[in-house]
Amino acid sequence: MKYMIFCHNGWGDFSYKRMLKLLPDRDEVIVVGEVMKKDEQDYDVCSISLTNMLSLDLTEYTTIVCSPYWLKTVNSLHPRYMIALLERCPDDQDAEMWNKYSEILAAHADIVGTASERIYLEQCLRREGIFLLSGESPLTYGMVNHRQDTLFLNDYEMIWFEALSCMNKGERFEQWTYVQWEIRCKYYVDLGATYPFHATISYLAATYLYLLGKSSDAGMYVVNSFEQMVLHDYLDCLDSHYRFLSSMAAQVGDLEKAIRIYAVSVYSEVDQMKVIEMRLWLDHGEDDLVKAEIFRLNEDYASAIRTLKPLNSSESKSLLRDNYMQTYRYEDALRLTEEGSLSHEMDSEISLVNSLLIRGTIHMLHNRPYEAVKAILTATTVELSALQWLTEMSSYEESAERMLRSIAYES
Amino acid sequence: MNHKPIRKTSGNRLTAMMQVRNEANRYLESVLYDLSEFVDEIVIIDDASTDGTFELCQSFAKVTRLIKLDKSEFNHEWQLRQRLWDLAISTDPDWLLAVDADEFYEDLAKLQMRDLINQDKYDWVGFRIYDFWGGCTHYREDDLWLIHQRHTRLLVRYLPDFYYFYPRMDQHVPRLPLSYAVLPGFQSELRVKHYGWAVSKEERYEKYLRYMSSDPNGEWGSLEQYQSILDEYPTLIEWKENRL
Amino acid sequence: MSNRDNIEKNTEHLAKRFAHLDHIGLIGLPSIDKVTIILEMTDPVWAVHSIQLLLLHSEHPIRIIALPGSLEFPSIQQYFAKEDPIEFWPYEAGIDRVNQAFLTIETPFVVLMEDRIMVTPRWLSSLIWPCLDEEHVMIVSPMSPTEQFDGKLDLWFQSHVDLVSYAEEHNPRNQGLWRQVTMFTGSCLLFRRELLDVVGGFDPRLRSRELKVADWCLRARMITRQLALCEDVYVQALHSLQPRRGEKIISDEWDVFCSKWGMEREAYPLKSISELDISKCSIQPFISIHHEPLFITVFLVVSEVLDTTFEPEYSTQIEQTYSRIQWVGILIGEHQELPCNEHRIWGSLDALIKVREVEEWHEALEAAFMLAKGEVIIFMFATRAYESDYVTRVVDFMYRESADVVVNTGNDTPNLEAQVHIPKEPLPVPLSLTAHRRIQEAGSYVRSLEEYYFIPRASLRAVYWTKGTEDE
Repeated sequence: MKYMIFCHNGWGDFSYKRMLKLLPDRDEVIVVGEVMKKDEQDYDVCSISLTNMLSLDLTEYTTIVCSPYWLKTVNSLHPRYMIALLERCPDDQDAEMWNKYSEILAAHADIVGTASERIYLEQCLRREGIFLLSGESPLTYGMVNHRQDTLFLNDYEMIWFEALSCMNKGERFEQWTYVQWEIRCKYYVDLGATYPFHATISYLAATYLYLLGKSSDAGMYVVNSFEQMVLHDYLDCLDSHYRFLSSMAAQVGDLEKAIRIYAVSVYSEVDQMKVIEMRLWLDHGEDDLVKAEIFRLNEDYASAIRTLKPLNSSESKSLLRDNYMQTYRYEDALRLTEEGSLSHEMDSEISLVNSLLIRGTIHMLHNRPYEAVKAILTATTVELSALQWLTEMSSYEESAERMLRSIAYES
Repeated sequence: MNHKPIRKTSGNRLTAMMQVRNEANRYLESVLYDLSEFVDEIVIIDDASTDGTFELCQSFAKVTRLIKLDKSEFNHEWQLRQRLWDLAISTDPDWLLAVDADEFYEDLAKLQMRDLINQDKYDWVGFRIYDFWGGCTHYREDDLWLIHQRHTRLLVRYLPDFYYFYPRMDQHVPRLPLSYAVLPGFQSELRVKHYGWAVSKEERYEKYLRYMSSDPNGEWGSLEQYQSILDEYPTLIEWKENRL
Repeated sequence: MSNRDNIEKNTEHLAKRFAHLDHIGLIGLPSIDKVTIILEMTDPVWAVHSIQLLLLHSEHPIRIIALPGSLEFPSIQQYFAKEDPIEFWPYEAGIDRVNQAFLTIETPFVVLMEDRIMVTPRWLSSLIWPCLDEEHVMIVSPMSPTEQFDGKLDLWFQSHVDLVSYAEEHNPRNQGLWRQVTMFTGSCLLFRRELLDVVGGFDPRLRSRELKVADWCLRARMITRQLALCEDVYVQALHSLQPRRGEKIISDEWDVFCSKWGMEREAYPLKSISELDISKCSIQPFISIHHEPLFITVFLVVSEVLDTTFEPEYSTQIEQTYSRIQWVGILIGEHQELPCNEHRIWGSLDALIKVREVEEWHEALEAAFMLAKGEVIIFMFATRAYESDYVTRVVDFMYRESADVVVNTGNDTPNLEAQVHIPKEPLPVPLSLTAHRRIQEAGSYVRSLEEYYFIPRASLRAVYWTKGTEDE
């Protein structure tokens, strides 16, 4: 397998250098932009200028993309696979733009990795195929031959290696997500036994138990965390902690309880209407809709999508579309919109505008600027506020250009 | 399927909850009369009284739940609080008012009580408590006696599915579960008169001795405040009742 | 200077001289004899790497006996030269191969290790020295991540080069540093051959490696032999992301272990084992290493067949790869095409029971039980096709899972991928897919709608494998 690396801000800032030695089926590893000679030898990589890269046929390459600003360029080259490595927003970038387009990058990628556990857990609740590239264990789980040496892999390196190996063979790799969750869960549960009054440790143990489908065990950890938060005066935990219990109740199938817990945690009229709507669904036997909605309200979009996907009603498809939109899976959302059987589309004009805006964004992300602008401008003829999408797209383009110039300058 | 709203905006029942210990010859009777005017139900735990407190409580019609402990749990206060809470919620209440055996709500508070609870925007109410000193006409206000300058959570909506807990302390445990702190509340300007210190100098001295014996190192409360009980010349302010 | 000071000074001088001679390579090996290394293989990649390091870093002449851990373990011989001192033994179901390897040992020192272990330079000499320092030292372990108690050391190395650098720097600096400990559970142990004569081998009732080794160490200590932990040797270990067979302690074997050593069952996990007072234990420390593989009785059941076009696969069933089988045929009901005439097949049976009436099937079964000599009964029905290695796999599964009852509810015969399921309530299962130990009241046998079922007794360890080579 040939790999092409797209760093943000060049090789110097690339924080996964060791990972390049551990890539499975490693045939060739090329970095776009300048790399020091010593690093080329140490990490067994080649560097390539931006111009030369653009002249290559990337359909046989797996790309490793470390910046949302590469997305447009990489998409247009149709690589065989795309690996996204997500990072916290750098100091010199606009956080809103970076975070949004990092999400879009993750949505486009075949597999996602990140060293930040916060980003990792957020993403686990949004999509499949996410892996954590950091950990604490000193144990060795595997080996890779590299030149004259044998490199040892720790737990997350081994998991990542196995997942990438599956991806390269076109096989599914979800089972490695579960393996990673088991390891992280055990780590926090064991740590919690040593530090039983630590709010964050308890919360993380609860989260991993929840991800593993063990909500019946997760509950006591989240209430322990809740107590510690309150005792230490961190009172902004109604949604994050108490409401989390509604997701857990939904996971074990106690939907009545899930709705009641959710209802306790909301006050606005809009949210109260949502409670009524869910109760009506429950009365009519639409358990899956309730389940999915509780997950979505707890920002567990991944579970919501999994629940809704097998369903066929227009209502379920409408909810599914909403989940896709929230997780920036624009192509999936557009497909559902075009299927046309969404009962919640009260206003066909709104539907048209949304559809055009999504289409415009997709065009932009595939480096089709003319089509992108055309779609957005058409949308503005119906809804003037759609212009702000144009502004946003311009900002994205500008940031992407800036980054490309800095890479090109280095080369 | 009939779904009751989680938060009712009308018809809320108000239940008072109290823990008492040897209050028969103090203000308890007056407090119970007072409460009976504006609450629907009263729930009491008698912490092993030896002076007729239990019988006094029994004599009030609105006292619907009354339990007497054989052995005092005063030195394990969180257990006592938990017991009282469990007893109170067993009555399936709408709102709970945590009252001490020497507290009186001002008339305006009694009048506005129903408006406070018949809404769905907040789940608890804080009141200002005034420490009356040496009598029923003046309250104390000096550096260590400023409880009235903040709000004390005394009135809460009972939400059956919420998670309730008390901190596991032996003394100075809050009257109501700490978890209410994460829910929205209302800081009312309505006032509560605390007569615990409205007693004679001798009785105040006895109280001081009790605090010092149960908490000699100031682990649960402030030693400085315990000492200030003996102040010769505390700053006292005349109480003025609010016009209705 | 006092006598004591003199002795200390002398010892210091001798140590310095030794270190100097060792440094310039004039100190030979502690023993001229070959060392036998019994390597338990669990993963082919691990095994190849482990053996390569053994060949690289073992300064002594060695003989490696490589034992595959499962039926499916692939051959790795092609990675080694013919002249390498390695014997690749084939897998054998139903028996502890380590005990069998013990039978062939002639060298004074033996190493027992798993393929997860990566040895470091001069590891072997360092492990042998304590046996020469103290005559009562019988078992020696290096520091490693696989030890649970005193010997536990988790060190992270980015690569093999780093590991070797550490060993070359750390080990000489701590040379000779060893101490007596109470327990080992790890994956790399050196022991004296004579230990097998006084303590014997592993307890066959135990399956997980930790308990087998712990039990062995306790028995050694019962006869006042010592366990030495070498703090001047570190070996690295590989771990598996997903738990492997033999890693998890099964509750049944924990019961066996606790009642054997007089421990409270609630004493789990293993920490309490290292604190056990063995002076109060009265068990017999010696366990023979001579064991035979399980002897099996197969009940080959031919029930009345209504479909006359059906051709039962008798021959396939009889031709099993497992050799230690007593064949008992049970013919139930009228058979137009009497298979008894087929001497070739029916002559292979050790016994044949025939009952004319289907209603007498229970009596036929009882008669078969009276004739059975095997430790395990496997039911095979003429109406079902069985692979030629079916008995081997059932035996292997039963042995490795320490099961009393084994039921195949999967698509295929059990293999490494077979998922183990132990239901809370015993389920009725087709008798044709069942095997159980020959014990009193293993369960009940039921016939319903021309099918035969078995319901295991609730207190037995009934293990169902639910997944074979294909997804269900």
